[in-house]
Amino acid sequence: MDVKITINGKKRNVRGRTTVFEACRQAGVYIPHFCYHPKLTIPANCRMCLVEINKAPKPMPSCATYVTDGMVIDTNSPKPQISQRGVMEFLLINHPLDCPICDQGGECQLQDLAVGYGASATRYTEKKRVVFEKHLGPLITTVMTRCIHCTRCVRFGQEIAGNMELGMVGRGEHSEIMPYIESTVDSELSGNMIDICPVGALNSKPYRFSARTWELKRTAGVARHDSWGSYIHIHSKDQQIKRVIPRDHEEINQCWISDRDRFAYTGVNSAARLLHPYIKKPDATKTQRVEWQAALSYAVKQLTDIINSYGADQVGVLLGPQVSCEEAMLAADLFRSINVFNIDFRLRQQDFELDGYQQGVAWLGVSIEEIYNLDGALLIGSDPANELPLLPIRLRNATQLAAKGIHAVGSLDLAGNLPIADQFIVPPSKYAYTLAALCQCMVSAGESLPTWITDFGEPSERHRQFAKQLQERKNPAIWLGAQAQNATDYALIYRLAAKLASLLEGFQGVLVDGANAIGIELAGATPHRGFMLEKLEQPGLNSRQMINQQLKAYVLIDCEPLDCADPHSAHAAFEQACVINIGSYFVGANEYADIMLPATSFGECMGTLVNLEGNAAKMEPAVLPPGEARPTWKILRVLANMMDVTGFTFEDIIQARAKLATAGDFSELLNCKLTNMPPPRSVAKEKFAVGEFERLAEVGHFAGDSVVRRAVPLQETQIAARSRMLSMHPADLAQLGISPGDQALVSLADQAASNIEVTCIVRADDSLARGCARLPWGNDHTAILGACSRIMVRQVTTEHQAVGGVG
Amino acid sequence: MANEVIFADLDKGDLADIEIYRKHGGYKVLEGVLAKRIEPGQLRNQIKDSALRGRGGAGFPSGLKWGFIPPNIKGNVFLVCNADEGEPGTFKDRDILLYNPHLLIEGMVIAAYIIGANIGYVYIHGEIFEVYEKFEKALMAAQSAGMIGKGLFGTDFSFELHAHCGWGAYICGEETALLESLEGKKGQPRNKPPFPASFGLYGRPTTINNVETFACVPYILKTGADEFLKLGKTNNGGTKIFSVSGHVAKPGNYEVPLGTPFAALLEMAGGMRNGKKLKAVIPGGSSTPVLPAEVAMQMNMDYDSISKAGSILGAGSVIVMDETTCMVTALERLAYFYHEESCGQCTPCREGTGWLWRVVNRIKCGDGKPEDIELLKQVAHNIDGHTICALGAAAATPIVSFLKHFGEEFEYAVTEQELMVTTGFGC
Repeated sequence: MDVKITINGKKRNVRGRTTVFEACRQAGVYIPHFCYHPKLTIPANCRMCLVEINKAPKPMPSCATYVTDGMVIDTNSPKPQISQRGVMEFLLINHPLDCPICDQGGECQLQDLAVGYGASATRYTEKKRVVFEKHLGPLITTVMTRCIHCTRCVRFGQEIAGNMELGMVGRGEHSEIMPYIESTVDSELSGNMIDICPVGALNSKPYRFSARTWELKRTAGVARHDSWGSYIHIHSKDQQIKRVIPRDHEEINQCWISDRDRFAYTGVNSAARLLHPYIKKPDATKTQRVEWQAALSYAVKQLTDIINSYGADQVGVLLGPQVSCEEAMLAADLFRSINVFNIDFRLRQQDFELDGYQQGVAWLGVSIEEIYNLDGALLIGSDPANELPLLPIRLRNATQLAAKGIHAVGSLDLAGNLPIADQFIVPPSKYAYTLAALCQCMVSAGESLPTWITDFGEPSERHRQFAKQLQERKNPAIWLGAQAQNATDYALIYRLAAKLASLLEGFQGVLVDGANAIGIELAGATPHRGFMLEKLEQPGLNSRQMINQQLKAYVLIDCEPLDCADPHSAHAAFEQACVINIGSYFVGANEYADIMLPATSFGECMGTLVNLEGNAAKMEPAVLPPGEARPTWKILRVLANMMDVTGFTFEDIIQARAKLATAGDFSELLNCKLTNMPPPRSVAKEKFAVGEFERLAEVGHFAGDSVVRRAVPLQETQIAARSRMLSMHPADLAQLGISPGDQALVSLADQAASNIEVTCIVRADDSLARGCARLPWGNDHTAILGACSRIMVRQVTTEHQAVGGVG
Repeated sequence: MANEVIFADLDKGDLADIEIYRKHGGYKVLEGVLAKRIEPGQLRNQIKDSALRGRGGAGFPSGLKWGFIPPNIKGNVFLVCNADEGEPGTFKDRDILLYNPHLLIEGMVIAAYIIGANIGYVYIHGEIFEVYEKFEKALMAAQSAGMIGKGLFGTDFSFELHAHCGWGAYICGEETALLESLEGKKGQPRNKPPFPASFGLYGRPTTINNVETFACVPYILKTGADEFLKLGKTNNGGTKIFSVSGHVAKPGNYEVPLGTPFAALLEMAGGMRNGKKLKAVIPGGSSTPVLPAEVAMQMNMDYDSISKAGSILGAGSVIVMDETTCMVTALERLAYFYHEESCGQCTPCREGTGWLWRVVNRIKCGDGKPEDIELLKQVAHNIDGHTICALGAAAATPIVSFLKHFGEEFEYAVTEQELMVTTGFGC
């Protein structure tokens, strides 16, 4: 219902339940404020937004006062002006006058408002307050003396990050913002606290003292470390990326981005960067720096020789899942033209049985915005905060989901930071059984399920209880997380989830793993489908087959062994083959690559990414590529021209993109449904030996791609440290006689490979299912274990301690 | 004409013993109300007619307040007793809890019946732990005697009452900070609206009253609203406990009818100590404006009269100061108290109370500047009315009133760089 109000003498109609602040904002009247933030609750503690309201004897905080009919608001009359000036004076008395050395200078709310509301000189002649700095980890630096106690960071932790890591302790003047004693801020979203801090109390540690805000060039970009596709601004100076901040986009990332997207840029200019073309001839012992032309000619010669002597099916093309649509399309076009059909980007996937049966590209199933209206959701094998840090924000803010809770089948207790209605915390091998049991609970009388589902066994009372509650939800989302997608029985889980979705009259979706997975699939860089999912006559090998079959040649585009589910086998396959590496890093690739072609990295080239809801977003280059690095699309064009492949005549990426652009609307292709698929093979009941644990199929939060792995500040976080450790349930550890903090020996459960052993520091995690272990992929130290889903864990004996390394 | 309502039977034995309390008519009113199943609305009208006003400081009519809880609510409705007595000069609630705890319990059960509350809490100030322990014993006794619990006196009315000991923060006496603290959070006031009647403890409808307010309830229902009203005067019903402290011969709690002249109260308290001359009186606790002797001696002790005289009855904590008192030093103590007790949530109070204390302290130490007096007034003005709760105003009030009535002492201190009165404590 509308109410009539008057703002500064002008009459207006606004909706009821609008705050005075919001009503004024709509009317274009600015009200100074500090503690108010549109995405956070309203504490009204800064008192800067006081305005005069008729009938109120005292000035009222506009952020916390709701409009009523006939309200007369004055924001500029003498009364609020005196109040606002008074509050500004109070805020400044204990605030240091260190703007010239403050990182916030130039983009500081306090500085800006002090110009309008502050006095030219202070009346406060007493000593100013001094507050000791707090150690908040490698990402946030503090100057706590500058804090104005607006509590935005505290509320951010509680309300957005879902975990209160900062609080205000002490009373009155002695109030201080601080973390728990001897703790740091360890959220995946912590960097947002830097953005919302209205003063220079919380600053970015990697960016600190490196530039002033007015010197920075701003470039619109898209984050490419997860499939959320957050919109970002890249700030650069002197052809160096200085920092990354969120670009407001209400439909996707609102005003937040994850730490991974924010600080990954620090890995771009790592010392390991590949700046020049190199080649390594078979007879040479060392790599040799060469001219571009020489490197390209050598690459073409090697490739042609191998195709001529062994056939094109001995060449495999592997792309990182963050490669842009343009590059993926050009790679697919180029290599299919020379009859190379082995092309894939699904490096962490282990089960490809679904290939050939999908009707479209698996996607989220709804738009990100529509999550808000969901009535129910079932997460299968997912750790949302780890995979898509912005998803938990949406889940917590969705009205019905927050009120009724979501359901989960997985190996982790998610109740810590998500509203959970009910969850099965089971080892990954039980996902399929749990889903099959739930299907059986939901089938109505008279209907029957195929035997491959009923063969799993009878549901228990617990399943019935879970199913009953889930059935009360209207059109729930059935989402498969990364731990399900990367599992060895993904196809089975996927099919059971599909059945469950149809029984619940809900819809299936996938929390897509890989920043541009949908885009690359649409661009045609998969072994079984071409451009816009066109069916191929001659499917090639998938990534797993390519690695296991040890081909004669590999072309790697932004792909490293650690990007693969089984880095050990990948490394071995690359070492024995001729490898053309189009990538950004020298260190690592120099071990196996025969030709290294330096390519652009994050923020250095144009490109299009498609996120998990199907939003195509364009990136712009923020800086020039360093050294002799060139955009991948240019490298592919030259290679194509040298191999006499036609159709590579474009002069810039916009021309190259033309094919994508003419393909038009692809929303029809976003579809999780399967065509008729034959019943799966019967599932053998697995037996587990004593001391054997199931390993979750997941990649470390800061280990997902080559850039993130080289981002030093991110690797120094607690999250990264934890992902290098072996996490297990405390009861399991007690049984093994291992104490948290000790080292343990991890080996493969497979007897044939019993000589492979790794020592890891052990961590107790009671959110983990019994019988499970977390030892994420993407870590050099444990790469030798490969993608194994079953590991043995033993105590370290004294003999091992003497020689064992530390994770 | 003293000790007629709350302290009436104190001479008849230890009323904290439930047997003795019952022997003298204790819990009879509660039993009568419940046995006869008197309609709550009728009881509330009696409270209204008695002109009982909140004894915690604001003086809000209790009958009116108890009508704010919407009737027939599903789920919990809370009744909270504010026994977080922490303001300099206040010590009446402590004595009620210590000497007549069952009167409070009886009053709370009746109040709960009137507003329809099913759970109650008594939030006791953290620095009086022995009082809390004794009150817990009384609570146990009342529970075993069936005065609180399920299905009281055969009715379907149930009421659970719990005591909670705070940790001594003054701010937790502010009703919404009290609720936050009771919920286990940091004691910081909430923004109002919403008021506790609609969004109180754990987000449920809640009524909060002072100890003394509840303790008046049995008497009102026993003798009738008129009798209670007649004890005092129109719009100021009943008696009030005044905690008289400072330079008097016999400091202590005096329960006198509202409207008693201040001169009579002073006489009851044994007059001025050592025959000194009265200089100033803070009539309602440190957050109420100070009054000079000549104004105070003409004033009657009730809400309206004190308000007319330029101060507030507050919690009835009368601080009496004689001619040896240095007002600069006295103000420095009060300013320090508010500086120390500000919760730090909102800007004007967090920053302003410290500033005020530092300036007053500077003046006291002989380092004041003439412009400091104007500065004090402006800073106090900038705090007052700009904060979330009343602590800001409470900190500003002494500054404004001390400067208004005893400005010459401050002028002297800033021009002469020394104190005018040097005989008092702390000089």
